[in-house]
Amino acid sequence: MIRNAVHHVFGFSYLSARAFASAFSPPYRWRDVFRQIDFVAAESLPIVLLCVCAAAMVTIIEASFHMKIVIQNDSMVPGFAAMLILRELGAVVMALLVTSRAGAGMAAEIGSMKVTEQVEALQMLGLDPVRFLVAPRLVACAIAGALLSLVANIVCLMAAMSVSVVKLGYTAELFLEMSRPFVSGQDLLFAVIKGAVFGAVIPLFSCYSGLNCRPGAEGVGLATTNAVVASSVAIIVLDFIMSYLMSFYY
Amino acid sequence: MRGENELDHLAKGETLDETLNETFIELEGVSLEIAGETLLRDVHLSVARGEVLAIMGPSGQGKSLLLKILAGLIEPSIGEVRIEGRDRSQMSTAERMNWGRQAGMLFQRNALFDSLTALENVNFPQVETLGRDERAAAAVSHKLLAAVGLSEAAERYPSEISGGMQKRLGIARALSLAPKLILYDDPTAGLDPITSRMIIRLIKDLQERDHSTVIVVTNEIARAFQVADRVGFVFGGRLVMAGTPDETRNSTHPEVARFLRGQPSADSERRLST
Repeated sequence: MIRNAVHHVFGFSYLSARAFASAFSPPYRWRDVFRQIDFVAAESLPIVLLCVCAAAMVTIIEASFHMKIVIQNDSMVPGFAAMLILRELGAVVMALLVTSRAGAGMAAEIGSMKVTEQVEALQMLGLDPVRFLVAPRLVACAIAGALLSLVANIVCLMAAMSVSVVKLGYTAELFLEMSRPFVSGQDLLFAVIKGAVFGAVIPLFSCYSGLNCRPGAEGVGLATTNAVVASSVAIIVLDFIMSYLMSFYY
Repeated sequence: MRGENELDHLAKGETLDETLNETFIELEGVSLEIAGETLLRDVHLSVARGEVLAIMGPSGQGKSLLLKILAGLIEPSIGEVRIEGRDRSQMSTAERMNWGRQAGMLFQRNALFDSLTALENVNFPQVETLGRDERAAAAVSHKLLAAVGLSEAAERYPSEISGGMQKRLGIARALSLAPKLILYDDPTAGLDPITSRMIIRLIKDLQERDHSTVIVVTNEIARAFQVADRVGFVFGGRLVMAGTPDETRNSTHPEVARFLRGQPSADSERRLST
């Protein structure tokens, strides 16, 4: 089991290094990159916005409820909610949703290509599967992750503000004014950086699982499951590490 | 006379066919081990330019692995693969990529790109590997599709055509880079006898037209004897013999004789009983 784990760690590291090297050296496959951005960002946007808005609404209602019990007022709710959204909620919820949608799709697609010998066919045509399949997805997902994180955080803040206005009796101006001491543009920038890093992680795990897929339908299913689990765990661990590192700049 | 004594000759360092002077690709003492299991053992094989070699043997004995080693898709654990006298493991990445362009392969399950039409499948290698523009690639592709009798199916997806047509499309794609070496992995698997005969005939016709070197894994005994210059027999991960069709037919090697008579080997019977 340890031998197997070490094998996968080395295999994943090697694939990641090759994918980054291919992503930053010509020839660039921009057409594939744009197609993947469309698949990851545009097609994931509705579900990401729906879920982050719901999470923001729940957060602000729960925060208000508990603050009223503990400190007898909810004046800090806008600042608390804005901080939580920008520093954690927006990027992490977005990344987990993209993992379950686009990451699973990538693992299944590449896994199917692997079991039907299409990956070997690419090699026979003198094409490097890492450059051809992994690198465009890596670039696309990093860009899509940053874009989705930016949009998700802004929409999430607007949802929180709407709930504050409708349910808690704040005005939009008051919500923004009370948020200002707690958050700044830097928080949004960090959220975008987190989105890009989480986005880059997803195709690496998905492609690694797909390229190491066992034969048959069961193999493809297992590769997809492994990709989603590994990406989700990696996102949560990376979120902890990045939040810790970013805390030095707040 | 070659045959069951082939390994004895090989052990002394002789090549399989000393009469063929211009060796294109050769395996020297190749073994393959995966997850602690030895799947190929000490294989020596030399294939001359323009030769048609058929590789036969029962299922699960290492024929497809041997083909993938020749194709460069798998590296042997031990031994050398030499292309035109050069050790492939010593080649630079660029040279290996260039080698990839000189070899075409029809995979056992065709490995067609299912999101592309038949025409796009044949265009793809030319555009991606040779950098040809779409229009020039399409002109070549139409000729190749016509050569394999698929002109009518150019705009259809692989899932929309029959198994035999998929094989022919796979052949057209394998030929799209005008390779010097073409490897066919069980090109008649799952096809009816008429289509199988047609595919084998097509392989031979294209080889005669292009003078390419062909290595074909097949268990179509009669067809293999018709089209091959030499026939190799793989059993238990070893290349137990490689000789002319007549030498193979007259082989006294027990496994070869059993296979040609259609009798299961002791190993096959044991596997079936379990």
